[in-house]
Amino acid sequence: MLFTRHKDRLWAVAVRTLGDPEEAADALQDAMISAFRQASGFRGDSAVTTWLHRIVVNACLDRMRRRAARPAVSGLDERAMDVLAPGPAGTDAAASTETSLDVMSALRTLPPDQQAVLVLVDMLGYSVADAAAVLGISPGTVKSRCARGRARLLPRLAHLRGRGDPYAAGAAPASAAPQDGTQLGNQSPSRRVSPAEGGGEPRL
Amino acid sequence: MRGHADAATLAAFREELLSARKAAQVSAHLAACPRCAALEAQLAEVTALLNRATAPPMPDALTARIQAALAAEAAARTPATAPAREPVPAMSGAAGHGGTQSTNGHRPGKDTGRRARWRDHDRSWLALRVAAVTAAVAVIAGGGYGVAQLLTGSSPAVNGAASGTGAAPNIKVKGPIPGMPAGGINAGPASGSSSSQRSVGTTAPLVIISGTNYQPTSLGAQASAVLQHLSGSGNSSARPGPTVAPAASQASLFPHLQACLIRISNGQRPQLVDLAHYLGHPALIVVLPGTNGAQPKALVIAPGCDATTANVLATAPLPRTG
Repeated sequence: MLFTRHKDRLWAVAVRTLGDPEEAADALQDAMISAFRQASGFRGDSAVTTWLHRIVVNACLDRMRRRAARPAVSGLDERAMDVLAPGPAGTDAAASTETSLDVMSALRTLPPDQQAVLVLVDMLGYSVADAAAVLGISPGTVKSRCARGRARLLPRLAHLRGRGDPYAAGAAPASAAPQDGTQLGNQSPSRRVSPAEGGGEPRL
Repeated sequence: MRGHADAATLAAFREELLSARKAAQVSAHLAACPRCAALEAQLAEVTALLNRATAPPMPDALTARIQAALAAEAAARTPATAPAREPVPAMSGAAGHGGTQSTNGHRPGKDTGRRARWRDHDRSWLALRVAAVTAAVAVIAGGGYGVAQLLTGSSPAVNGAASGTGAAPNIKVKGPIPGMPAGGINAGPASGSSSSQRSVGTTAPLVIISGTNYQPTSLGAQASAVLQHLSGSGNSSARPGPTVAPAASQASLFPHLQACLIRISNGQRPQLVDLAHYLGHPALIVVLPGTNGAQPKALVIAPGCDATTANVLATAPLPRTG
């Protein structure tokens, strides 16, 4: 079955695009039902992988736009936290998880179109051509959205530079994460986008 | 080039989006300006940070949930007797990393892939797969409990710990849901009681594993048959006690079973909670009493159900008996 064959890649796209496992699960299910219904429209002139990705990405973008229309929804961080926090605090894994959450939070502040290209190209390593095929846009548009998205992210990730890189950090200060339990600091201040950046952005 | 380059310009430069003339200016400036060179390095680090960001793995239950949803979708549209056909689209070999073959420049209309359209499904690759499953299941599931028994014998989820009663159907009982009040979700008497709940309706809901593979067309009848069997066996020897644990693999699909039941039962007390299959996929079958004299109804719940998400795949009223 195509779904089982591709599910891990499709999940990777959905969960990064939406940043919330529950929403990603719903989006993936919607997308697979949608793919099922559209299957007769698939003509084999685009790789089936690309076609499936496109449906998943579009399902995610639909949800992102709906979410933007009702910005009062919150709790995404917390739910993501629950799933993202498998390791004890204070470990490399926990530090890496925290960095991931910060990166995801910053990414969420971008327009959906920029998020989508950065998820595919920078997070998942898709080529510009592949991302363009998945999104149904030109490679040039992919590049310009990538460039604009990275430039916008730059100040929002400034506090992470040199952190969370297991190769560069060496003896990274463990004080950043509490070591008193398995719960990854829910109220870690670094998780928040700095207030200076936050004005006018939809709450996550 | 006057002044320093900003991040947007440098990002465009890195993507070779600038004109040749402008790019040459930026390049020359970068060579001479440590500040802008540092900014460019930081842009590269943005990509590195994004690339290192991890995400939670796909939940195990999600695969089953989506497969069940696809099966339900197929069942709603595809006759169970649909002949299997050859798979149509050749698989791209580029499944591994994002489809490196997808550089054909195919640009569909903006809405392609967006709107779910009800088209003919002759070439549906998913339908082919699911139709085959449906047809296979239709052969063995005649809708009656006895036929469903055939399934339990070979089902790995039902290993015969409860087979001591000879011909008795191999129903496994999980027992009261931990934490569920003994009087049920709602302390009041169950409404719409019928004869079939005579014995199962007097204590906390039992979670059983009947081994039934429920079908869309016979959902109500199958649930009714399981209920009748339970009430029948309750008369003679002691009703199967909470001794047999369910197969872990099945129970693990509903880690939030109690919250799920509270969510879907709406204050009513389930007459039946069956960790079973629907169209061959793991599913929870719940029978709720009918309200205002209506027949009880059976609900098919996909894995992943919890306090906030019901995941109801299908519902059907139980047939009137007697």
